Amino acid sequence: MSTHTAAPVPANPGQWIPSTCGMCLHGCGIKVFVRDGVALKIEGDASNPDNLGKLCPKGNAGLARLYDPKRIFKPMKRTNPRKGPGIDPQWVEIEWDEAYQIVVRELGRVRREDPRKLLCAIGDFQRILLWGWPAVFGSPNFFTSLGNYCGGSYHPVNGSVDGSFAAINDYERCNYWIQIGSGDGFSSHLHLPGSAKRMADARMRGMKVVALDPRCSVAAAKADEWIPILPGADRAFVLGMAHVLVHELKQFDAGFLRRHTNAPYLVREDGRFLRDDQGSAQVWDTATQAPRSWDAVPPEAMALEGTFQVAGASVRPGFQVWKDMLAEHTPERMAEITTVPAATIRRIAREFVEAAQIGASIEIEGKTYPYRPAALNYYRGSQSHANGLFDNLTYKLFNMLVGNVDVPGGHLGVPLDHRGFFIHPGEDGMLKPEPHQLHPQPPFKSPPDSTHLLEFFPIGFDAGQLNTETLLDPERFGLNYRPEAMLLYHSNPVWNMPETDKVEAIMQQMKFVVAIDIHLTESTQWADVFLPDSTFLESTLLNCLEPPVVTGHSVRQPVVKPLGDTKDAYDILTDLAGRLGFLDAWNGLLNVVCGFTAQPQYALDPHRRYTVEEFWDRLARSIYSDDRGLNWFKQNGHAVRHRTPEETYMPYGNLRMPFYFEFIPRTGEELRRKMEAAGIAGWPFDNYVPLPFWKTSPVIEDGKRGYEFYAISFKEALHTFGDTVVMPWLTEVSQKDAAVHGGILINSTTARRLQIRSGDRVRLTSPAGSIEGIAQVIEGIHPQVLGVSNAITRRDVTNVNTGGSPFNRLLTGSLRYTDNATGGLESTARVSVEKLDA
Amino acid sequence: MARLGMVIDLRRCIGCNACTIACKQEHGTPEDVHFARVVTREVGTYPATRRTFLPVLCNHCADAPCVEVCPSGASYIRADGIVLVDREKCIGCRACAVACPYMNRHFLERGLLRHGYNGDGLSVLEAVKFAEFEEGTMIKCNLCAHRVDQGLEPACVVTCPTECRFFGDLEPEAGRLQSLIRDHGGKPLLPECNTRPSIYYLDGEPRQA
Amino acid sequence: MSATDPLPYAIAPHRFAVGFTRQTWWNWRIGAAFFFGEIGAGLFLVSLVTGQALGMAVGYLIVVVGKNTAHLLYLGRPARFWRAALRPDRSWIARGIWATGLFAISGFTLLLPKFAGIELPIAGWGQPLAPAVAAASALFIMFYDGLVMKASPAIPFWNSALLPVLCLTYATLGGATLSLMLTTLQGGMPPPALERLEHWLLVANAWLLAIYILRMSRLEPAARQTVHLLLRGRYRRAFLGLVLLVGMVATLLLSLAQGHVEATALAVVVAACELVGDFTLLMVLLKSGLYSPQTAPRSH
Ligand SMILES: Nc1nc2c(c(=O)[nH]1)N[C@H]1C(S)=C(S)[C@@H](COP(=O)(O)OP(=O)(O)OC[C@H]3O[C@@H](n4cnc5c(=O)[nH]c(N)nc54)[C@H](O)[C@@H]3O)O[C@H]1N2
Ligand SMILES: Nc1nc2c(c(=O)[nH]1)N[C@H]1C(S)=C(S)[C@@H](COP(=O)(O)OP(=O)(O)OC[C@H]3O[C@@H](n4cnc5c(=O)[nH]c(N)nc54)[C@H](O)[C@@H]3O)O[C@H]1N2
Ligand code: SF4
Ligand code: SF4
Ligand code: SF4
Ligand code: SF4
Ligand code: SF4
Ligand SMILES: [Mo]
Repeated sequence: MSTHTAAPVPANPGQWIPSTCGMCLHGCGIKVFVRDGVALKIEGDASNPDNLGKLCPKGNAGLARLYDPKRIFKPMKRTNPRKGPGIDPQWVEIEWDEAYQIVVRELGRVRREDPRKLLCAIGDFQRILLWGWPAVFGSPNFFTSLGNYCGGSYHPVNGSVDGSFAAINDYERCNYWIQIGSGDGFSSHLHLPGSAKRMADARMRGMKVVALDPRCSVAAAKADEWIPILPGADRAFVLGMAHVLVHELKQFDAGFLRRHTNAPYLVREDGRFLRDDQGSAQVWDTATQAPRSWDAVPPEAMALEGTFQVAGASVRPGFQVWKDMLAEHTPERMAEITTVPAATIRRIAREFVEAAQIGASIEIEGKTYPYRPAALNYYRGSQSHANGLFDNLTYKLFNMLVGNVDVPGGHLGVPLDHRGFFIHPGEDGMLKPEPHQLHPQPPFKSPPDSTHLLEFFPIGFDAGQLNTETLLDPERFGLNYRPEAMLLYHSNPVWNMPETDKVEAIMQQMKFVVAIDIHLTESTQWADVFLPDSTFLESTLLNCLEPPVVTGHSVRQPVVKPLGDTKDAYDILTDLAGRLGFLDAWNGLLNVVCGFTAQPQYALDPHRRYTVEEFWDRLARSIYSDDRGLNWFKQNGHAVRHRTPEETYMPYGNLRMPFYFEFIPRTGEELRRKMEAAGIAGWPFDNYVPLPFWKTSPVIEDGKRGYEFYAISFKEALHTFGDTVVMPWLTEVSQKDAAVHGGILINSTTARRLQIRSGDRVRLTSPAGSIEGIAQVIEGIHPQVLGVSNAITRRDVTNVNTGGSPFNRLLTGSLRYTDNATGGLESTARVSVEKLDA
Repeated sequence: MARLGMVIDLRRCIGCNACTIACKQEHGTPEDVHFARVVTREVGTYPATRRTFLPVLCNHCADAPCVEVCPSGASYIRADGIVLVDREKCIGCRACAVACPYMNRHFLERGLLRHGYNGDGLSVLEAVKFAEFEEGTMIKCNLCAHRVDQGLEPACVVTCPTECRFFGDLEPEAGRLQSLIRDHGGKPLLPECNTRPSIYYLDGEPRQA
Repeated sequence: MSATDPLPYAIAPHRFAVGFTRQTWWNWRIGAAFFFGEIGAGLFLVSLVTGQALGMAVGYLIVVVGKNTAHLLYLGRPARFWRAALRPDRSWIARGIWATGLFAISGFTLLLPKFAGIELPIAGWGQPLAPAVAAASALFIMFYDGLVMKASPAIPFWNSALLPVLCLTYATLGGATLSLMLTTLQGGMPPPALERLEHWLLVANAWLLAIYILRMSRLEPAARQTVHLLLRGRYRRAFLGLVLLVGMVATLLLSLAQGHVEATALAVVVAACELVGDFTLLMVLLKSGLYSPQTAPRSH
């Protein structure tokens, strides 16, 4: 690749090796050009229909990660017994054998005493199949805010609606796209390169985009309309629109609600479904004017609205229940909450329902489907709040109102893996709710085994932030052991969790910490032993993670020999399992999570140590057939293809999705009974609701305590979390975008009022803590909001100027700021702002 | 004869800087040298605010002032319109850099190639890539001539997530580039400089809020 | 955008931001080379006309040693300096190299007999040719840097035919001032015509600069922004203080005092003032050169 010179033409022409990007969790197809053992270029794999040959900036920076001289290339142990932020561990390099010996000695002791004493922070989404390591060690603990900082409420609700993990609007057919607090198609979330292409195509064919965000995100910048909104108030906006549809315009897809949801099921005063003697849920049959079993009435005859008397008690279809709730959610009232004018709420609602073309249908590959080309898409920003369940339910129900869920043009479920693992028939003709997709839910237990109280969240997600509740006050929930060791693997909890100070206090309590990482972070600085993982360009796996639009697996393979003395994380975990004496349990677990139990010919022999290649080869063959083992993937890169219409649109056939989430309060009731029996007092249950409505939140309450502003954080295309901030290729560029990453973003009017100018030092103080930083005055942010890009949140651990405004110090990790049904956390904070002397 | 160029559709562009970094890894340019970059700007006052993204690269001007002023003949225009610098001839006078209205030239200061992005010394990658460069000379976007010569598109084009960069020959009137320019009123940057750029843009300003 | 629009851009801190971008490529070394070229050639020419051998020699050395050293120090690949001469057909820099070369040779043939007493065996027609070539090349050196700068359409403030004229008058002024100083230092009486020339040149310079600034302040935004930098912004002190006050007002007033006070010291001070103004002007012209902002063009 001679470029600027008469450099000699290399003798070795080099080769392109297909693989999968690992610069963020998603995994776009790549090919890597290697010559003389040096990887020289990464490009998108054009044969992969996921990213279509494109890469985002992070994917383009992959080589800088591989050849980063600041990577850790050899196992290390700490020689400074003193631990703390900013304290040098005085690392010395050691051999793997010694490193393993220390880890096995320390973790072996813990395991013998009480395996629950191990806290695990695992964040390697692409190797999600290895997440069960702590479980076979014997620890239920999850010490990180990964997945629940964003999807704590999102994943359980998606799973409960249609067995999906995530969701996205139909890029190909949507005509009116409301985007609330998400970077999909513009800057973040699912598989950015392919999504950006699909979004651009859709906009060019005339799709309208309306973006709600407190700041002028890329989505907002490119949208037809940016609606600035107060953080956490999005649900009010959407409830206001639902009010307009149901009460003012009276336009909604009654046919869809009757046929595909439980909206017609009759609800008793106590919130439960009316059931007959067989336990079958009842609907109101308009033909006979009587309640009948849901499966005995044709959908057209089911009443959606009205209040009916049955045996002296009144019942209402679930739809009517929500309709009644919506009555008081007038645009005028919602306008006060959101700061968005009522007229805007009305206008967007009208535009949306008109664009939805209720009643229209479309033929795709010879099959006729409903056609609803308007949909609301949302992610972290708009629902990572203390009432995240309410947020998610609102957005889903609003989509259901126009009948767009899982139909062409509409709002589509994105499964973790497209093989339909989570589609099962449930009760009353419904899909079985699948709130848990990453691991099975442990039963209620008191005192709980887990430090993050997983046993108290029957429909929830691992609420990592609650570690701060239990570990700093273990008596509170009667924790009957005290954690003393930690395993960090591809996770930076000191960065990612709320209440940094408390997280550090917990780190301080640990007697032993082992880190499996590629470089030093705020968290690995607490480690006693550091085990260097290989980077994505030196390791092996099969990946399939939340890809929108496509399905199938792509391979990751070493494109060069591991630089230095690093190992593939699979090998590290397997070595540790072997040396700690639970190789059999480890292989047994892999048999389960890989589905080998159903295909015994692939099952791992519990006592054999499989190499990383053997392991993934089996998985490949078990999914794709024996002639498509790892070698096939290494040559061909992937077996990714477009999802078929059948897989995409209502893959669950006639199974109904919940509109009235009856199982939620039912689950809450059961939990309440168990808690009472166990003598736990004061646990909140108020979020176990079947339908969403507006209610106040802890951050709104904080506003009354003098915290005038909101602080939010956000992701943009140049960075994966705060991690890639240590990569100069990327930071050099992001630092130049001052209006985004140049400091703590503050609206110009507000800045003028507070006499703050760009470059001034400011301090933000929340009920939890405070951060300092450089003010950056901009126009594109709500006057009551301060923005903190992830790019300025790192502390200086790697000599790169990383900003030093750790946003999460502002967040509160307590139960009060946690959605008590889902475990989702509150990701915005109320703050006061003060200008510091220069 | 061909005249290679590009049409960039700003309506599609999301300012992601994938082009910036794709170029960075293709050429392995040293610190602060970006042949491709995205010029961003906040326009309007709250709440009628937008951000605009303008991806730029060398315009491979047909009337290139940088070539015009080059005293050594190091800067030249290839037959297909690509503006190149012959590093063996360049004397490092920077006249071309001063003359380029688009700031698309980069000078390799003495000492620059001795350290890489991570301070002292070069990474394995930098050691290979920097061999292409020579301190004291001028470098610039070469429109990925080395790729184009192999029938490939430029690195920034193939990676662009939104496919807003269209690469090709500007010469044929009926060609893809000319039709895009015609149909959408494509314009180059700073036409008042009379440089006759080979990079055209479609629709820059956002639709009004 | 019209001339009356307010300036909506700030100075861009780097190439990823929209705004006026400052020229940073040509630094003090180029400034020094231009400066030495101008005053050296100016001194040489004035001395040639007034028959001052010492002035010719000093001017010659300033150009051949001073200017060329500054250039060589500046070049990225000094060993390839000769390549700078390769494209005289289009590059003012190349033409300048040729002129400097011709100047070096022709000046040498003029100076050698004067100082070493060596008569060069030049054919008859060579006798009048050498001074003509030396004069012409000196003249060229005195103004071509203005053309070098003007040749950059990128920087609107430089893009004026007045710039080479300004260079020429400044070079002549510098030459005249230095020549006056040298004569005085040698204990001679400066020719009154030269003194008058100096005064008139100072007035002419002030007038040219005023027109220049006025024209630029009505031109497009980047040039207006430069004017702003010079009169009110970052270079205000240098421009108003050193270029105008020291380089023009003080020089003029002091030189008017010539003949009234102690001559040698005054001549040195006048020359120093004038040269400070001259060099500062070149430097601020270089430094305040701004590129126009590039904004996303709108279709149709
Ligand atoms: N480029 C990139 N892509 C990524 C990641 C990454 O780090 N970088 N991480 C991956 C992961 S794990 C996740 S969870 C996803 C997250 O993907 P997104 O949900 O797209 O990410 P965020 O930027 O966190 O939040 C989206 C937007 O919400 C806005 N916001 C903040 N608070 C509020 C609010 O209260 N209301 C509204 N309406 N908006 C609000 C922010 O300004 C931001 O523009 O992205 C994934 N993909
Ligand atoms: N302020 C703030 N906090 C947040 C968020 C935010 O946007 N802002 N986002 C939240 C969300 S949505 C999430 S999902 C979490 C994510 O939080 P984390 O999971 O902590 O984030 P990552 O940066 O993906 O991964 C953590 C570490 O993995 C290491 N790593 C990278 N590559 C490799 C590898 O190949 N092998 C190994 N072993 N280690 C590697 C890096 O050292 C990195 O620091 O953060 C949450 N917290
Ligand atoms: S979205 Fe993620 S996986 Fe895809 S190219 Fe970017 S960093 Fe790589
Ligand atoms: S890669 Fe494409 S979309 Fe991204 S900034 Fe560059 S031109 Fe725009
Ligand atoms: S953009 Fe600049 S460097 Fe490129 S050809 Fe035009 S003038 Fe020369
Ligand atoms: S720096 Fe090199 S390429 Fe530029 S004008 Fe001088 S010699 Fe020519
Ligand atoms: S054409 Fe090649 S050299 Fe030019 S900006 Fe694009 S990637 Fe860089
Ligand atoms: Mo996340």
